Amino acid sequence: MMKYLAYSKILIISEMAYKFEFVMNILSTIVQMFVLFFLWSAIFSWNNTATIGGFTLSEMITYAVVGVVIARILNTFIEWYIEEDVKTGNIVMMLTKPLNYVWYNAAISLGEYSDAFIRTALPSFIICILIFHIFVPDPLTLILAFISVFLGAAVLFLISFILGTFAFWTTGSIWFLRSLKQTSITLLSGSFIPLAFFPELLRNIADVLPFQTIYHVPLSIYLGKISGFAMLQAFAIQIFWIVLLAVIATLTWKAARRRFVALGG
Amino acid sequence: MKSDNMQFTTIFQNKLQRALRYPSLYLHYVKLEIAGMMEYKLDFAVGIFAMFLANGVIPLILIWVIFTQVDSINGWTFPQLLLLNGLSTLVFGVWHTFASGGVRHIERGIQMGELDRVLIRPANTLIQMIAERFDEDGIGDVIGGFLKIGLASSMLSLVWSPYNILLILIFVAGGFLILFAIILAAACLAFWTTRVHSFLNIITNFSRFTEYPIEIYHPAIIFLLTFILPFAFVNYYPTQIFIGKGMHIEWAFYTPVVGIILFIIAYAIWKVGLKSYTSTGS
Repeated sequence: MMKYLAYSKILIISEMAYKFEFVMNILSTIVQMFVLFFLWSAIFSWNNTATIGGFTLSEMITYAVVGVVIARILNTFIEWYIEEDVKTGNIVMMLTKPLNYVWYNAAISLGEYSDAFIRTALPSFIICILIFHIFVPDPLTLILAFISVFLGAAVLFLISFILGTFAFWTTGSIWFLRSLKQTSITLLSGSFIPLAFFPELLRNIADVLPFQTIYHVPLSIYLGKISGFAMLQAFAIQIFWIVLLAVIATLTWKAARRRFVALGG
Repeated sequence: MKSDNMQFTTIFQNKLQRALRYPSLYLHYVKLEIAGMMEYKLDFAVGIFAMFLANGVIPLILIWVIFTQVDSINGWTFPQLLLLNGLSTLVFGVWHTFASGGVRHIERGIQMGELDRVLIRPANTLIQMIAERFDEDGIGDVIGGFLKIGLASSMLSLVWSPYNILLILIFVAGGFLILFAIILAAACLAFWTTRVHSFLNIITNFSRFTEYPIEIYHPAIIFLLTFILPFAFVNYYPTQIFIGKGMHIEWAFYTPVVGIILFIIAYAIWKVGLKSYTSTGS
């Protein structure tokens, strides 16, 4: 375990070197939050309504702004790293090391997530509490929401890893797969608009796909929209996707390795 | 006196001749770029398609979802907001296709000493920079922009008369110059400091405000988007002409003026930057 965490640590330390980026990233995040803050304020005040789709203005702003915070944490480039490993042949080095490549990449992702959490998400979260006076739940709910973000992060990592293994068959397509993933997340995760606003068809599609476990679940827990049994259910769905995707990831990785050996002769 | 005049005319003619070869030079670069791309036909189509989805279809659906809940945002109906959003996508698409890659590459060009190669050639440095990094993915944005504008205008029964087409061409050209100028000026910071990448991102991020009608924002932000980083002239003021409403409709006509003036300033900064450029020596 420790040997994997060493990789996480290296990634965090190397990113720490850029202090100017640190400030700029936070500023960028705040700009994005301001857009959403004014958008929802305008929508509520113009339509002169207390709730939209079951959300009050304060809940909606909290949803949108905390969504931006989560988006800052959940940014992984694992597909590209895998593609680079394949392209440069670095993958050979990786295979000779006494490492499990899946866990190695998980550690890299964890490093990315932690780095983004410490340097961008946490400061932005504190600033947005001060600026937008967003709703902050009780400590227990906050911890549960955080665990849910972590599970969502695992789902995102596994999806990215699976896409990354496609590099063994075709390099150059990873960029497209990655953007397809981003597109699906934007549309179907509830990162920008709560799924409660969605028309039935779109909502049903979102419900049966893993993307909603990345934003919709943690945000709903944070806002207290789901609690008690429904929360347990939501956690169960997240864990279900992690297990399923982990199985798929292991299988694609095995197939990729076999193909690699075949190529390497 | 007469010979002075003659001399002036010949100098002018020379300059004009030199300027006139740039369109064909640019096209030549683009041809090379596309020929290279055609080696990977799938990549070519796939990149365009990805941008079309990400900046055309998905925002369209998300805006529509908001409007399943409300009738208007600050008096802007679904098609009106779509027109505003689509014009922004279109202009960004043109910028993405023709100049963004080159301008964003300035930082690396300086760091890696690649600027030297461009500098020793007998052609305009900036044009070479952007021509080398023509990016066909932007075509996906352009198509996405057309999709939104097309859908919006059919819902608004907006007729694309020759006058309206001329107007939108002027607005797109003006908006392109505004984006080019603002981001070029920001990228020139790389001549004096390193790592401007995230600075460029935040400047570009400010343009996100124009995805929605700017009157929903705090007056300070409206001021910023009109007078300091005038992204509002890219789509907000022009859109008002087509739907006949909003604040300061007539400001739409400043779009090309703002574009040209800003570009002259940005180009001057670029020139100053080049003068202070000393190669990394590698």
